Amino acid sequence: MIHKLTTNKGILLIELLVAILIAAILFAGILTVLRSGIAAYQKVERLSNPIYQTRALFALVENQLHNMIYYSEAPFTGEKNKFTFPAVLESYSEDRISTIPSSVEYQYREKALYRTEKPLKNFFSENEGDTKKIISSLNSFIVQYAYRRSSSPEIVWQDTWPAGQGLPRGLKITLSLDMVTGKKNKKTENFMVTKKFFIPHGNWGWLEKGL
Amino acid sequence: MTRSKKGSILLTALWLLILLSFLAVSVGLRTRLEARMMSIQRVSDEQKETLQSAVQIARFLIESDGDSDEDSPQDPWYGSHDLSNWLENQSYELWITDEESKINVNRAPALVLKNLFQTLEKNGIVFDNNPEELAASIARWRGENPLFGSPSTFHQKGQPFESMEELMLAEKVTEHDFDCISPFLTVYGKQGEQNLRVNLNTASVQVIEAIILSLSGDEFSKKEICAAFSDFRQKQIEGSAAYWKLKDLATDRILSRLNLSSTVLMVSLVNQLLQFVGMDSNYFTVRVQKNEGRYRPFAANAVLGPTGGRAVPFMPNQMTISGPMYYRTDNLDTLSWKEGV
Repeated sequence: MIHKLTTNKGILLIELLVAILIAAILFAGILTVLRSGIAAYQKVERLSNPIYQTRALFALVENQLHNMIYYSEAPFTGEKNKFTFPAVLESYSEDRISTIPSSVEYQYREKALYRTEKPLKNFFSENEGDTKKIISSLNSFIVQYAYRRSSSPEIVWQDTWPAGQGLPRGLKITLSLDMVTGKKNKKTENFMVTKKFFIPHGNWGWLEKGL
Repeated sequence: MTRSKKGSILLTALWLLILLSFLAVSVGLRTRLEARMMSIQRVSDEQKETLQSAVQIARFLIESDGDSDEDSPQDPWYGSHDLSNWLENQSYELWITDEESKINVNRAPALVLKNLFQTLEKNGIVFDNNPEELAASIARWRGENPLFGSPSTFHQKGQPFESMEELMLAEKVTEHDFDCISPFLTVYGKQGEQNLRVNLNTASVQVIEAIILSLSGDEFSKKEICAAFSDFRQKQIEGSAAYWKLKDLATDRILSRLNLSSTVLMVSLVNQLLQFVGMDSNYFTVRVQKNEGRYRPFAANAVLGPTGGRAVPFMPNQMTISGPMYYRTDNLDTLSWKEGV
């Protein structure tokens, strides 16, 4: 038995070539599947990234709007491209959650959305507040506020909310951004999304001037 | 066939298997992550909706109170409620109490605030700043110039407080101090009334004590009344004494129910006290909390009260609530809202 094994002549060249050929075909097949899989995954990720970004933004805005407070020295004011409000913000540190009454501003300028947070304590000091760019390459960002007429239950969305009206009952944000659909030619599509926020402790704006 | 050839086939097969299983595992992990993110989103949406529903249930419980002039812990709306009858398969807890059990921070004289904080300190609460400074800061923020506390050049609002969180903006009130004093204070109170008025049935013993200590009279009699109220509350909780009724709001009734002698000093103190107490509650605190679950507990705190009952009127004066038909028909409106962990 031992003798037989040691006298083995080994494999023929043709056998080796065939083996390599089969392996190559197999690997080529697997690689194609893998590559197309990865390409599809990357495309989905490119598409879903703006969706996740806006979803995260809306979740944060909703949380901050729900924790708004009435404070007439830094009241809620709203325009088409920006809104400012007083709210209690939670900040997390290692051992505790602290709440800080702050003035929060969302502003759309130069195709990006910025958020500024400034503590309300010592509000009139020189403190500029902390400004962060949240989303870049936005095509549009429009904020509207809930108004009503006393004669109808229908909500009318208006572009401004002047100070002195308290907090709005509802807020509507419409934003659009570019979504890259093609990889090589950088083909983009406009992605538009609208979200309405309901504020439990807000009040309706009223359209009647006489009231 | 030789052994070495058999080995090469096995090796190739193994390599393929490893590659494929890597692919499968990565796809699986990614899918799991996505599913988890979606489920967190779903749970958080569901929780927010539930909080809103629970507050509506609270509104219903409060509005179905038959004797709304006499509010006490025996009323059906008061205290904690299990929501399992209302919201199926959900373990949410609802807690309702009245805002009139607390001292109105806009109407309380600085002395009452000082006495309240001193009483709390005597009961073991440790403040960052001393009670006198806290009370002075709050009074200054409202635009007053109290007799105690150190002078300051801090920017003062000079207006009433519009929300409880605004207390943290007053000079000496730190976040810890706010957590300590906020259970005993409110910014809501019956419209048109100038006086501080608490509900004698629901107000905590410390709140009643702070008011009694601020009355003019001799210290010994004040301590006696405070002790009598404290004992009486204990009896009320145990059930051996009834809660106060509207007809009890008379000096002789209070003295006799508290078993106090009708001396001139006592009568004078109770007469003064009657200006600061009542039985009617119009503003309610609602707390909804999720008891258990896979995700972090979520809670909401809301104050319900009469429409337009915010601390500072926000609507133009000419606006009438009763006229147009599409105004909210329920008389309780959500005045404040806070949600978080």
